[in-house]
Amino acid sequence: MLDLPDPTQLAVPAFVLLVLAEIFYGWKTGRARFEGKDTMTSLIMGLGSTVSGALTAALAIGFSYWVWANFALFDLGAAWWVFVLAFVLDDLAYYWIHRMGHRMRWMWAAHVIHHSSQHYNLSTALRQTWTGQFTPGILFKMPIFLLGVEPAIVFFCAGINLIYQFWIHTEAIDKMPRWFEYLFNTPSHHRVHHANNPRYLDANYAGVFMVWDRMFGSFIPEEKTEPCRYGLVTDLGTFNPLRVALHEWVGIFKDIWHAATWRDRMLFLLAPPGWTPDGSRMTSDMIRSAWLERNKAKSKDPTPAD
Amino acid sequence: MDLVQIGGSLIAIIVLAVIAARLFPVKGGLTRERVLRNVRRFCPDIEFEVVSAKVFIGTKGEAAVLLFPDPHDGVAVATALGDRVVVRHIEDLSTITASRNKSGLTVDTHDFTQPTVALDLPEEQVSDLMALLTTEQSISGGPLHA
Ligand SMILES: [Zn+2]
Ligand SMILES: [Zn+2]
Repeated sequence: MLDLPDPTQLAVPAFVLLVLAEIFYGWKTGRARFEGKDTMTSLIMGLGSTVSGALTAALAIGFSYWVWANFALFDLGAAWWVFVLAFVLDDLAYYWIHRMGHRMRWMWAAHVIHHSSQHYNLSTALRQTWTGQFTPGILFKMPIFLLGVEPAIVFFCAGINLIYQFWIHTEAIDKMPRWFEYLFNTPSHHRVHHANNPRYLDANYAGVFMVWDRMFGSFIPEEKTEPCRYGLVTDLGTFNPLRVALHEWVGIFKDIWHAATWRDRMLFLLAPPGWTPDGSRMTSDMIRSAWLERNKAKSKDPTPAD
Repeated sequence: MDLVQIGGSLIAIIVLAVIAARLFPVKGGLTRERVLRNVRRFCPDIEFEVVSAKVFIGTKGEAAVLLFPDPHDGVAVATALGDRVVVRHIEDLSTITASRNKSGLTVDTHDFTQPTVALDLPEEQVSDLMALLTTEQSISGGPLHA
């Protein structure tokens, strides 16, 4: 087994210093906003995520190595180009894991944590899940192991990917140069991803390369006329880390418990967040179409003459 | 990850959070305007005249209950969470429990993501709100979907 360092663990001191720098920058310029309890919760979620990740890593590593050792088509080794290939393929897998993380409630139960702050700053980047290993996310990486890339290389690349995503969680940077905005995930693209404005829901799932969103039709640019409002469609009314970490799992459990049929039970797990058999809650698609309807109605309203 | 790393991380977290709290103090609680703006955002499909909405705001601006002019629309509960506002729309009042506490009123929405909401209110407002919630409850008595 290839012995590679965990890049995210090594980056932790830099994360701390950069959050501190953004706090002071925001205080001086007003171009970044923080709130003490929100920052505390985000950072506690980050620490908890590292701890839970360390406790459950053996599951993912064991399964991935079992697949790779028994079913890999090729032995690609560990040349530099394998790392480049692994980085690109892992980023593609990340795109689909992330997209499903928003479109399947089971995976949303883990990912929702990252979206649960109403702030958007570098500390939000560290607000990470505690329950990622309890979702089928790892299955999306199987094709890479089957191709013959050793899992350690893929996990190393995933770490670098996560480090890349740290700096894009900021309001302090408006737009990067056009070519960069076209190719890469940026603060502007990711602000849209964290926004709960109906216009911006379910967009910009990219990790590093923005090309996946452009390719698979999920790209929405940030509009100057519509500032992002961050958080969930129904924001959490608590900073309690345990409630933040587990709330959607509790919701799923309650819904499954009260469901009338097995079909409903399955869909409470696999359908998009907000799905109910009677349509009494709203999915992001429903919120978006209601918003479009309201806009249509508004534009039909005769403007009062003055 | 060992205990020393966890301890060190916890210290760093507390230091960062305290600095953030000092440099970005939370100013001002809920006002009628702030409650209305956030309720409108959260319930875009409910159209109502701002002047006809009854809003009860806790004396410290910590939380508020808004009664929509049309009783069939139920109520909205707004809470100040740090410097932000969180809103819940309760259409069916039988799903919440309102009770008096020492300094006002407690509303329990029985929602894992929204712990009990306590409002500091003058006695006459507590009575008004309790009466209104009770009346509303007797009007609704069940799900209010048409
Ligand atoms: Zn996301
Ligand atoms: Zn993010």
